[in-house]
Amino acid sequence: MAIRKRTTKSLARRHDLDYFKKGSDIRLWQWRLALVALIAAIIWLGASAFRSSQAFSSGPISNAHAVFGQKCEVCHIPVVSGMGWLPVVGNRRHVPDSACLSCHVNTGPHHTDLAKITEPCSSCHIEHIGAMHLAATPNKGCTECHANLEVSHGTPSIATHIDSFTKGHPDFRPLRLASAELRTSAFGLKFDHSVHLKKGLLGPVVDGAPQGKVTLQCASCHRVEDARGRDAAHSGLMAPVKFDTDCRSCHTLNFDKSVAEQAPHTTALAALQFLRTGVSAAHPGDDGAMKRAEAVLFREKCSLCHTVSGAESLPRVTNIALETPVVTPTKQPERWFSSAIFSHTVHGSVQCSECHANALTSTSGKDLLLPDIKTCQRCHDGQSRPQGPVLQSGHAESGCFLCHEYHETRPHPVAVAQGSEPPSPAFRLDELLPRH
Amino acid sequence: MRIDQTHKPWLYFTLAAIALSAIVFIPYARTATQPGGGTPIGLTFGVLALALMVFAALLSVRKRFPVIRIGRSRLWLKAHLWLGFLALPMVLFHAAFHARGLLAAILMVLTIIVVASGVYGAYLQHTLPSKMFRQVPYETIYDQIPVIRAQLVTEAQQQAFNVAEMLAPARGAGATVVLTMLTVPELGAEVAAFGLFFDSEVLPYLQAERPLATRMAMYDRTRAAEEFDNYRKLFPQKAWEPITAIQDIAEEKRQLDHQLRLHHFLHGWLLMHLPLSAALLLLGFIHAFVALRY
Repeated sequence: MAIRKRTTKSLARRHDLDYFKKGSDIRLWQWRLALVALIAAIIWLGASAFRSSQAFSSGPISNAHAVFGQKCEVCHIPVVSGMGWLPVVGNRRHVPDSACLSCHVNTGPHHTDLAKITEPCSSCHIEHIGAMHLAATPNKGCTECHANLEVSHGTPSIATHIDSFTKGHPDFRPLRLASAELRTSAFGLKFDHSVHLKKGLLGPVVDGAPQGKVTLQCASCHRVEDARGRDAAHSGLMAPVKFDTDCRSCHTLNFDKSVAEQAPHTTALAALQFLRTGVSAAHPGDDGAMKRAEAVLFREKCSLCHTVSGAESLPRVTNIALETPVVTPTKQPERWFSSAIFSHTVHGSVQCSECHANALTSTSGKDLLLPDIKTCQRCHDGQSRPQGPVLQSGHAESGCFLCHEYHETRPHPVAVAQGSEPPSPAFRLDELLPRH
Repeated sequence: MRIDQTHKPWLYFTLAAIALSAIVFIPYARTATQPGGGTPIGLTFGVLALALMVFAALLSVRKRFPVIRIGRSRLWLKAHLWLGFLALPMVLFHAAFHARGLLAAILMVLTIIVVASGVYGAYLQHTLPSKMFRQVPYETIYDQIPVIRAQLVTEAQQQAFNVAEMLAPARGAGATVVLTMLTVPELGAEVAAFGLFFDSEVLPYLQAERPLATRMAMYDRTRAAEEFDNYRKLFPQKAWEPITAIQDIAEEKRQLDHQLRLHHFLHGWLLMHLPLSAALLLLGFIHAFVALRY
């Protein structure tokens, strides 16, 4: 359709030559919207800054510090006092130790006499990553030294190349260091777990009458002594088994049918004196009864579990005068792991035999029934991240902090005036809480 | 701007920069206690990202003040495209792929939207000009379309008048009456019908702006051609020329409407890209200030 003449000249004449002065509508709207976006951003920033500093935070604060989460300057203290208003250089980006220690006054460093370097608090206790437990420090803080351990003087007394719980960490110290001789002398108890776990054992005896057969469980004798400690990590220690609470109900220390009371489970001398007093009262002048009672108590009852020196010289065997027998005491430690925390409460969902499998078949008190490191590594396999908002599912945490505490704790001074010394708490509430 | 062979060096540079950054980032992320924007490497990525954003924003200044001759605008556009794109991976490396805090999250979302809209815009700039060249032979300057539209209306009215004049019976003092044996058909009703068709369908379509025009019968090229063909069949050949001219004017109007649509596609993405870029830049500077302060 070339019916209309369209020459360059005719086309050029059609145009308004001043069109560029009017501006394009699209371009005009671009700048209008840009202005709106800038104003909206400024209004939002202003409103956020007025309400709180949350919008500018680099991440949510931990639960422990949430109370003053709006007061950045509490931790990010000014470089020079009073100069916090100065942009960029006014406040410290890294939190200095002094800011932490203003509240955590009794937090001691880690074996200061041996450590070659001491890292700042914030290198391990990382903030602004959410409601994580601040003590859940990443492994790097530990392995920085322990992966290639050097001490300031002497030689290290522990493993020197520990990269993680699954790499380089030695087996637990009691398992590594306890020799058979050491165990014998340390524990000194004749005990058969397998017998005690059999079904249909003779149960408790009350007033000389058996109360029926029982089948013992682990928890019949082993109980958590501090299920409600200061937190999950510091509770769940297994209480040492005590004769009076855990054994006596079945293993009575009766020695004569005429004496209702049982001998005390303290010292051999105390038991002997108790026996002689009781038998003398029940059978005045009856030496035979006395000798029978002594034989029952020391040869049958005590020596069932203990090594009793002198029991062979008891009157039932010879007629020589009785000497006080020597009962080798047991030396069951209060805590097996002296350098680590372990909570049975936290592991309560797992059956005892999963970790203490040898207990089911153990026949000797010399058996050390602690699980080895491989048992722990079945779950704590190093596959989960020790810190961060998310843990990889299907794996238990494997961070050093789970078992080891970094700081040497010092006795906490009571925050009240000592004599004329006034108390010095770090902050007033209005210094911590936001203005409302 | 077409993404042609001349962009290859920029593509290679961008890929190399991303690869190099990844080489730095991966071991850092695996070993750092808490990889993020506050670490030295994270800060470096952050500074790079902000610098790239600032550079990308300078294109607007360069366009706004074309008298400032610092490099050719084509070079500026290429640099804007590729270095602006590079800002996104730098931001992701800076934040270690997860934003902490509301401002950081907003910044990351804005960066993603701005870069994504920029990539979409680059795609449109690559494809639409050639499409427009093919589909809009009557293409004119976008800002002149209203002026041209008004001229088309005047031109069409003139052609419609010509049709009526050509087919009107000769009368008056100067009229020449030729008597022949042929029967001259009376076309008064048909001319009136054409006038009605022009006034009711053609003229409103020529005057209408695009959204309204697309709903009119004349926007349909096939239907318009049928209508004009019908009138050409009705009228003698001498009237075909102005009728065809009106049809051509309608076609030009149709193409101008299509040009408007393509132009809005071609530049409409900037309505999102530019304002969000401005907000991103402002918030980015505030983020940097606050992050360095605390």
